[in-house]
Amino acid sequence: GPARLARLPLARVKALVKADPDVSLASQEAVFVLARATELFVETIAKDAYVYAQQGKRKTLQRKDLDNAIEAIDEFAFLE
Amino acid sequence: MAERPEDLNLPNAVITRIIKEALPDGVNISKEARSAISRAASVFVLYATSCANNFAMKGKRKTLNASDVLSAMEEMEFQRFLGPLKESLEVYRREQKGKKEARKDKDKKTDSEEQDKSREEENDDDDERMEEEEQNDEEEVDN
Repeated sequence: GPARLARLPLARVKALVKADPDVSLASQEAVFVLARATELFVETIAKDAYVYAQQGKRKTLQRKDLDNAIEAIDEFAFLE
Repeated sequence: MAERPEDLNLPNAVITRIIKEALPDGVNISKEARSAISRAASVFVLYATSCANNFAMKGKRKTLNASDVLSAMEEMEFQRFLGPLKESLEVYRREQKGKKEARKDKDKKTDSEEQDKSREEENDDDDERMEEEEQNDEEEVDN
């Protein structure tokens, strides 16, 4: 549910945050919210890609479904 | 040295579990699709961090905080995440507060116990406390 705590390990998310040379400090809360947002992102993109698998009458999500979703959906433009 | 996105990946098992839970039962995911989603998730973190950092800088703060991340989500057009994120944050804050209070109580107990020479040393509690202290500190990044 929405109130569930992040399952992505905070240390790994923190490593990504630290990779940004412009970031000096990040609060633990910030890392937590980022982790949780990333989980929501993964759920969202998986569901959006699955629409294409359904169109192709497939029960296996494939790479091309993802590519189609990224191309079609504005919010995923940063991935192109 | 700057890390490339491919070097900073998120655990496959967790990513796979999140995907499976989001999709209907009986749906599979190819390895290539899973990898692509995992890479996309890493890019998401990097992009969101950069975006959030802009808000921190605008507020003349050196520390990226939770509200900067929420602002970044809005900027990235993921407004629908805001509700669930705020809820999760509240739960997280309550739990952190509970941990702090438990630690304070433990400290009180430990002080009086140390006077009892026959008491065995409880390393578990100390380890837990150290772990929490590490988590509670703001991370300083040497860039």
